[in-house]
Amino acid sequence: MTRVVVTGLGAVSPFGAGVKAFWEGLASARCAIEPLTLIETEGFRARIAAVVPAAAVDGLPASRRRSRADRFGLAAAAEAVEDAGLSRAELARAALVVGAVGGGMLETEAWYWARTRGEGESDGRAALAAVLPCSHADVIGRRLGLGGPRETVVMACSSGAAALAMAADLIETGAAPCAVAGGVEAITRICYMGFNALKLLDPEPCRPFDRDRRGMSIGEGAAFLVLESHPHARARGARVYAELAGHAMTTDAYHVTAPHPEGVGMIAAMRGALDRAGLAPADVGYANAHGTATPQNDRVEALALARVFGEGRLLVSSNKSQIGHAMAAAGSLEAVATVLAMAQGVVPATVNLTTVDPEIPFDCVPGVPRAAPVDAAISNSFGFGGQNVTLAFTR
Amino acid sequence: MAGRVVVTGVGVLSGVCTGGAAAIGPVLESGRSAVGRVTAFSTDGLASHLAAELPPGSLAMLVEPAEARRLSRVSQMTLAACRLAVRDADLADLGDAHLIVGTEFGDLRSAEEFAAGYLERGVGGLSPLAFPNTVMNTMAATTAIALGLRGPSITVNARRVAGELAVARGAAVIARGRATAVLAGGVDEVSPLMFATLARLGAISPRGGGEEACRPFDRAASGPVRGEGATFLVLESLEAALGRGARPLGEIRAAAWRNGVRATAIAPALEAAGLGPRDIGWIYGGASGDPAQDAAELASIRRAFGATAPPLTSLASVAGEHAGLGAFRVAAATWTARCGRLPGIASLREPLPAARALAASPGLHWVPAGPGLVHGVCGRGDNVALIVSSLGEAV
Repeated sequence: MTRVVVTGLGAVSPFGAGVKAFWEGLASARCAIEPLTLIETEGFRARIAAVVPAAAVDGLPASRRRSRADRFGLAAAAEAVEDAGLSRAELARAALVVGAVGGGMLETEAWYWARTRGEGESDGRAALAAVLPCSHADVIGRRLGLGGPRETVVMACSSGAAALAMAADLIETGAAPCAVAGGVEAITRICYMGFNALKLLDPEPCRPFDRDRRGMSIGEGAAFLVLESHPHARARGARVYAELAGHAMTTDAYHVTAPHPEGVGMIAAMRGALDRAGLAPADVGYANAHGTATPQNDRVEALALARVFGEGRLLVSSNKSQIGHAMAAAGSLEAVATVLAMAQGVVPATVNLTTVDPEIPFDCVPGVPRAAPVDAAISNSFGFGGQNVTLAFTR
Repeated sequence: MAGRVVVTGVGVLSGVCTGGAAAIGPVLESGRSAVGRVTAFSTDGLASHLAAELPPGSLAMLVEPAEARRLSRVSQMTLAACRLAVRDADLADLGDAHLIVGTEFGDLRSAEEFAAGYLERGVGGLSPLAFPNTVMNTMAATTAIALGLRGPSITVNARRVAGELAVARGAAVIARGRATAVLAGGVDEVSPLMFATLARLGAISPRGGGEEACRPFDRAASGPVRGEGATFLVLESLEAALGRGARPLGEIRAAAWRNGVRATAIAPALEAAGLGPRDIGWIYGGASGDPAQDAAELASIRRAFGATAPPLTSLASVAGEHAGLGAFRVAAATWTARCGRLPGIASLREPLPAARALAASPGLHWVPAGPGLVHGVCGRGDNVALIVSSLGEAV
């Protein structure tokens, strides 16, 4: 079995551009969820979100003519590639797997809104040409010279994690020696309106695992990881952050928007990832939870975690308390956080958590990051359609 | 290392035929085409009027009334084709099968309906039930629920090659022994907004003032003509198929996919199959009548085969350009591999000089019953190649 290691990281997050800003934001226990002004919010229940700051967006290297999401994706992928120090020849064989949902919908919505309201003159050509989720891969692949297999995977809120699992598959099967993989999302009106319509958004910044949690907060961003076969990384003397030791994907086949009430699919994903990694539950010190702060997700996820790992012991935290739910980018942003938590020996906190729900039988690292050596960690990502992805990392 | 991958079932829902594998041969023999004037909506004011639509009532026998009420049209198409494929394969247990759905436009109709609800009636006009359909994985999610599929359900998004990419990834899953069965294929529909947008952007025929028609490799080519429908294949390992007494329709000897404008997936696919260019007797190309894209495909094929490439056909004028056509072509390839006949390009009148020696003229051609190639290319960078053969020579 080919071992797959992480040798490069890149991120654009509500804490700014770059992995350094992302980690400093996480380590400072700040919450980046603020009033939302990027799109119209009048009349909606929740009028907040975690967006990439304007100054950071302005500073991104990609052309301003590109969609917001393409710019996030390109910046994060370029950072990961540079961090890994891959040569042009290595990039020419590298796979590219992008998790995406919204594509360039934000700009297309602006065109469609204007057209419907009789305000627009534009034919929307530029926006429509970049609307599909696969547009990110067009841009990233061409600009970075990635010539291996490429795929765009759309698996709702688990897309970013799924991209990493699928890239690891390509390396394990020998289809590519290394891969640039991650997720991309810019906030969209459809997403914001949809979660509002489903009454899944908290009017206040989200409070994962809190007894009084009322829903999620929307976020955005992009994160990419360079994954590599261990022999390939060793041969070129690459620095190794962690090993992506296992991964698994399952489907609930239960309900489009609700998780299976007993967490059957989540349990199967976590067990599948541990099996593949050759890890026992007791080996794992930290679970980077999906932790959306909806009443249902957190209850069922905790139930599933308890079934797999037993109650107590395991540290469980949710980055979404700080950066909101970045949709297709969430799984890859949280994978970066998980890898850095192991590398730094610091587990990010769950902020906004004042009264832990008695149904969550774990130490949820409330308020303050925790210094803790972690040799193995999992990151969960779940999505509409009953999609469950678990990644297992080891040091 | 790799196990042998066989196709044991086909489900096709298209403008030109609906059914299992047996529905495909007669269509290929007849040279029929489903391209005609759009009937589902008005094309007044647009330059384009042609598409290969599903005949009215196609879904009625395949989708329960309750499902028809609940599911969007493109989700119904996906479910119907998957049901046909499972029936064709006579597969009793789907439990841990993987589902891989390729799509170019997903459920764009639902996204528009959802947005229109807000623009017409404000916050109260938003339908919470419609929101999940705006995410491209909705077809996979609803199909997994209806069929009880609990393995990974993956949606891949790509321009032009999504269907063949889904089948290629599915073949890799079986080759690695990761699943006992995979349902893989593609789906797209012709929706009013998508059609009008492509027509306005000049992305479909007639481009450049030419005659409106689908003419791959022809001097008169003026752009693609859209089609709609879903085609899904059941893939199994040879061992599993024979073990349960199934009769394989053909074998996928290898699959490769690559990124880059000048990249080719053909050479790596041949290498993985242990074959040389001379072993390939025929090609199902992805040409759609888009002059630039077709030229890119010819260049790819020339690079891989040199001056004397095998006969090359296209099914774009049969069922129109849609992600289902990628899987349809793999199904057609199993038919050609079994019976040694290749349908020519029915719409071909005056081949491009570069295509003259390659493009198969209208009518049926006798070709070697040995292995052939299914090829897909998108000028923005995606290349997919599958080597398909009958089972006879290899068992």
